[in-house]
Amino acid sequence: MSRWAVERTYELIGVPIRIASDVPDLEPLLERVCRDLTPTDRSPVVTISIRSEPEGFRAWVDETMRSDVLAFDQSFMKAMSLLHEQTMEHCGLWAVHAGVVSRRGLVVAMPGKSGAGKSTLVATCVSAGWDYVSDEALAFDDETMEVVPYPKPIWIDRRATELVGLPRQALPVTPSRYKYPVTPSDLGGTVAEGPLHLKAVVVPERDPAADGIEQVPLRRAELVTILLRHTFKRSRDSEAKFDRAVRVARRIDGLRLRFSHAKDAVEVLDGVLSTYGS
Amino acid sequence: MKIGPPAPHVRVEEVDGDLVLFDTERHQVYELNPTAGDIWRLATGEFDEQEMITLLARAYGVEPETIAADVTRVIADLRERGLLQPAAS
Repeated sequence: MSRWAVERTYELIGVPIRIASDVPDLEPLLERVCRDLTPTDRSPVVTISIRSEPEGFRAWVDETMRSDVLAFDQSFMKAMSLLHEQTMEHCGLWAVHAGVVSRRGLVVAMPGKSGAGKSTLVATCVSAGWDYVSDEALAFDDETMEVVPYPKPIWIDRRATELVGLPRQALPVTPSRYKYPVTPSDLGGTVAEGPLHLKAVVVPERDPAADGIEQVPLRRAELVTILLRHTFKRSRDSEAKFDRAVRVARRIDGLRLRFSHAKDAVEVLDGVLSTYGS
Repeated sequence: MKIGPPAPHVRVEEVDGDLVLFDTERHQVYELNPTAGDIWRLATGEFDEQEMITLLARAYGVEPETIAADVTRVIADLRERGLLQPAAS
């Protein structure tokens, strides 16, 4: 008999990961927050668990304790963060830290620093009818340029939820560090399906003081550095990754986009995609 | 003092005419703007800084003093990052 009151195994970029808890409170959260992840019967490579203690809850990865004693909702947020960490750890594809959206199977990736406006832009795109690929990672095969969705929840702050028109009652759990996990379904969107191909990299730079929108084409050499600097586990096989980044940069277009309002930026992205046909 | 040559742990790729350097020891990548790329191409160990400034000024059709400060700064930057071999006199 299982030690867990709740357990689910999801396949994330080909990596089966179990999330489990000895308390049943996990179930409604998973139903709500992880509903766009793909369940699998495969044997998990790792188990992330939330375990109760007399004073609260801790998050674990297999038998390694990975958090202090926390309130349950905080331990859940920690578990979500560990889910991402372990996906990146075990993922066999090249993964770049980026928000990713698609239309008609054509993918635009938006790498950027934290606070650059990636998540808000992704959420706004999904609200505007783009398909959701990921809030966190561009995972792709650099030979075929085929992208694999990684539809973890989008983490956006309260202001961003208002900007994308999300009613407060739709927010699933108590915010952790002022961020809310939002699913594409919450935004009226869907997760991208079918063959997806990387076409462009757009570097978002949110600047509340920007007057309108500014777009500057990226040189391909800049694309190489952008792809590498945002690569997860960059130091692992780094020279091979350099070769791959050069190869990919020669096959895609790039744009730096400075904007104050995400909706304006989405219009530019629509224009970028229209240049590729279908 | 001659400038260069490149450090042996640096890989160079040309992408659409621009140079991208990869430091295989520090796992760092650098993309050079066109002027820095030209400086890199001259940093073979054959020329000193003044000769490089003269060659580049002639190529760009400007007075040497117009570009001297930029060339000096880029060379210092490349050295500081360990991308060029230590100076030989």
